[in-house]
Parts: sequence; C-alpha cells; structure tokens
Amino acid sequence: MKSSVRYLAIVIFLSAASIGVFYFLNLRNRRAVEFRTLELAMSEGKTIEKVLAKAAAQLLVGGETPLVRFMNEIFANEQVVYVALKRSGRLLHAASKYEGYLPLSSEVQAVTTFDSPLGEIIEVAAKLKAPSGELYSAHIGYHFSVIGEIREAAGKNLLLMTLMQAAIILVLVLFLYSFNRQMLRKESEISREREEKERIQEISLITAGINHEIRNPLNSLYLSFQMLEPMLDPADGEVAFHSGSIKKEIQRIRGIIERFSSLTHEIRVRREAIDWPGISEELRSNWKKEDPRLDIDFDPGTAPPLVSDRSLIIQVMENLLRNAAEAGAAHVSIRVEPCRGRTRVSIRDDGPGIPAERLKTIFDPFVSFKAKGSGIGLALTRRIIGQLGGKIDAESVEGRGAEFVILL
Amino acid sequence: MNKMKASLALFLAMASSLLAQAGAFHFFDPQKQADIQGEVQSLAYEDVYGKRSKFLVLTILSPDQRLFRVEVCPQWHFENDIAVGMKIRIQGSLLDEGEGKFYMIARELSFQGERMVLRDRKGFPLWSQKGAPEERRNRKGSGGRGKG
Repeated sequence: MKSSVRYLAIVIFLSAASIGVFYFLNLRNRRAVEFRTLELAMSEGKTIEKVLAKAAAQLLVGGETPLVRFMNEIFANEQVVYVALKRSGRLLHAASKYEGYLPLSSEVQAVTTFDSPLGEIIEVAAKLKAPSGELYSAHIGYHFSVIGEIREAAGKNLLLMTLMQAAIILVLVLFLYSFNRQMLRKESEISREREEKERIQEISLITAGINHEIRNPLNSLYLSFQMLEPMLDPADGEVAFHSGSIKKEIQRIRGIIERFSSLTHEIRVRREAIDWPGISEELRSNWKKEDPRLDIDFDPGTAPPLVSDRSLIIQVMENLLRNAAEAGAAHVSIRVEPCRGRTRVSIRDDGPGIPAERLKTIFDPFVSFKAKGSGIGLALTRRIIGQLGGKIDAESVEGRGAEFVILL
Repeated sequence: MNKMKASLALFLAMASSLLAQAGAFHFFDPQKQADIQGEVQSLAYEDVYGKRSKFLVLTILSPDQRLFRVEVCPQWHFENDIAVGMKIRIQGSLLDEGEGKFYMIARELSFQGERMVLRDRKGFPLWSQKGAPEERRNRKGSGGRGKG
C-alpha cells in the first residue's frame, strides 16, 4: 500500500510539473507571438508613415484645407482613435473619438506605441515641409486590437488546454493508480499462491513419508488384527469392545492419511453443464444422512448456464456445510446468482462467525480454529475452486455468522 | 465660369470655417496638469463635443478671484449631487485661453468629502470604458471638438 501511495505521489508530482512546463512554454510562446506581432505592426506603421508623408506633402501644395479634409477622412476609419495636424509644433487641427483624449507623443517619431485602456495604440507621425518652408507634422493614432485579441484568445486557449491536459492527466493518474493497485493485488496473489505451492510441496513430502512409513505398517497391523479376530471370543463383552476400538481407530488413522493425501493429489476436472436444482437435491439428500440437524435452504435462483465439474462443486459445498456444522451453525442458506458474467454462489451460515484477524488465514492448510478441525477442508476447498478457475472469499462479522462467496 | 467662382467661394468659406474650428481645438494635455480649488458659481450642460452627449460644465471662482470653466463629464455619467456654492477641488488639464480666461478638462473632483475620478493620467475618459450604449454607437467616425 505504501508503494502504491508513493507511486501515486510521483505521478501527481510529474503531472503537476508537466502542467507547469506546458503553462510556461505556452506563456513564452504567447509573448513571442505578441512581440513579433508588435514588430510587424511597427514595420507596417513605418510603411503607413511613408505613404502619409507622401500624400500629405502633395495635399499641402494645395494648402492646409485639403490636408485637414484628408485627415478627417482617415479619422472616419473605425480603428483610428485620433488624428492631429501640427504646424511649427502647435496644434492646428485634431479629432478624437474619446472626448478630449489626445495622447500625442511629445516628440515627432515615425512610429510609437503606448498602452491605453483601449489596449495598444500605435501612433504614426509624418514630418512635412510646405512649399512656404513651414514645418508640419501629421499624427494618426490607431487602436491596435490584434494584441488584445491574441491575449484574449491565447488566454482562453490556455485555460482550455490546461483544463484538457489536467483532465487527461487525471484520467491517466486514475488509470495508472488502478492499474498499479491491480498489479500489486495480482503480485500479492501470485506470491500467496507461490507460498501455498511451497507449503503444499512440503506437505506432499510429509504425506509421502506418512504413506510410506505409516500406511504399510498400518495395513500389516490391520491384517494381523483380522487374522487374530476369529480367535477372539465374541461373547466376551470386554474383548468385543476393545476389538471394535482397534478397528475404529485403524479406520480413523486411514481416514486422516486419506485427507492429508487429498491436499496433494492431482485434481482432475471433468466439465459438464451444471444443473443447480439437481445439485441442490443431491446435497440435501447426502447431508440428511450426515447431519440431519443442519437446516439447508438452497435457492438456485436465476443462475446462468455454467460448465464445470459437478462432483467437485458438490465436494466443495459439502466441505463448506461441514465447516458450518462443525462451527455450530443450525441453518445454512445457499444462493446462486449471476454476477458480471460469472456465477456467484453464496453459502451463509448462522454460526458464531469468524474473528476478523482469522479471516486472512482461514484457507491456509492446517489452520483450524475448531476443536476437532484438521485445517484441511477449507484449504482443499480453495484448491478445488482454483482448479475450476474460480475464486473463494470469506466474510464474517463475529457473532453474526459467516459467508463464503464463490465466483465461478 | 460663374459656377466655378461660386464653388471656389464655397470652398474658401468651408476652409476658413474648418481652420477657425481647428485653431480652437484643445485637449487633455497630460503636460499641463493643474490643481484648482474654489466655489461653484454655476452649472450648465453644454454640447462640448458636438451632439454626442451634453457635458456638465462648472464655473469655479478661486480664492484669488479667478474664474475657471471646468469640463467635467457627460451628463449621464455624473451621478453625484452638486450645487452652486459648494467648495470643490479639481485636478485636470488647464488651458490658458488668454484675457484671464481659463478652461480645465477635469480628471478628478473632490467635494463634500467625496472623490470622483473621471479620466486616467493620460486623459482617457473612464466613462468610455463602461460607456453608455448610445455613446459607443455614436463614437464611430464622430469628429473633433471646436470651442469658440
């Protein structure tokens, strides 16, 4: 979990850094575009100044009036904020679209730019000399809206792009986080399975030893007992009791050896169409013989069609019923229903439940919290379910029964 | 020939009229900012910028008995109460029209404990930023201001 959080922190940090770098580059790019646009406007202004100088000089030959009229015509243009005509440095004529606003530059420069509440203003000023020798200057100030538009559009785009990038990164982070969690879960499952395999291998060795070292002497013992049995007096009650005990104990030892062996035996799966009502019927009938006190409520519900091993499924269910009965449950309810394209089988009992700290190890071999338990039943159940390509989990609240959920 | 003479006469008349107006044009000159104080002598609404909108124009008498005509702002923009006799302080661009006449384009007014900013430092009229809708429509291509 710690590594998952660290991983998430790294991804978030990288995402934030990437948004930061993107924002910085975009800002730099916008400034470069603004600067270049202004340069182009200045260059355009210089051309306008040359045209203005030429036209105004020609008009001035006919006197000031044609030039004033010309300036007024220029003023009618929407982008033009003001026009002014100076003679020997004194204002001769001016017009402004904003009452009294005439921010003329103090020196006559071909092109100047300045900021205003309207945005950038470019002033083009042409110096002229009348045939009389008098010096004139014609000024045109026009609103250069392009930069404002670039800023506005770039601001909107930047916001949009940043939001989009943040959304993409968020989705990516969530995807990576979920992927990482899945991987960690899988890794932990693999590691658990490996540990279990190792334990099973150890158990196999022990079981093989038991088989070899105990089963044979046990068989000899049973044979010897069978040979001895006819020589005993069946009428003698004490003899009958002891001979019965010997038989029973030999059978019990055999049973234990069989169950130990079952953990290591290869499980062969024979697949067929599963008939849940049939399984329900067989389970009830089998169980009536084994423990009639246990009340079983089996609801096959709307179980989807399933191809699996019928006898293994019955074995699993019997193991779980046995587990519930041994734990002291009086009632078991079994439900079969579809779940995301799979079959979900729930076996819920009304026993004392399983303490939370024991839930993690309940399926481990030789782990049992019951007085008579061997710790083989649930381990074998999980092994069978694994072989069937399914999964089993246990849920319980202590004192309120336990529920085993199988996904097939 | 008579037609030509008439056209020339009309052209000369127009030219002289334009020049007469142009010669009187003044504007908010940031280089000529001044600060005056005095008492409001009169209030009037005048067509100082053509027929765009009537402007509030005050006449102020300073303590040294000089008279100033002060162009404030369009009628629709002025929302305060002002009356003859009020003490007022005005900052703006001052034009000496000669013969003891002074004309000021106000940038900031202070009266009755209130301060009202009308233009920015370069004289841009702040009402143009919010602007009356009809004002904006009329702005396109409207001409300069002549003051007689």
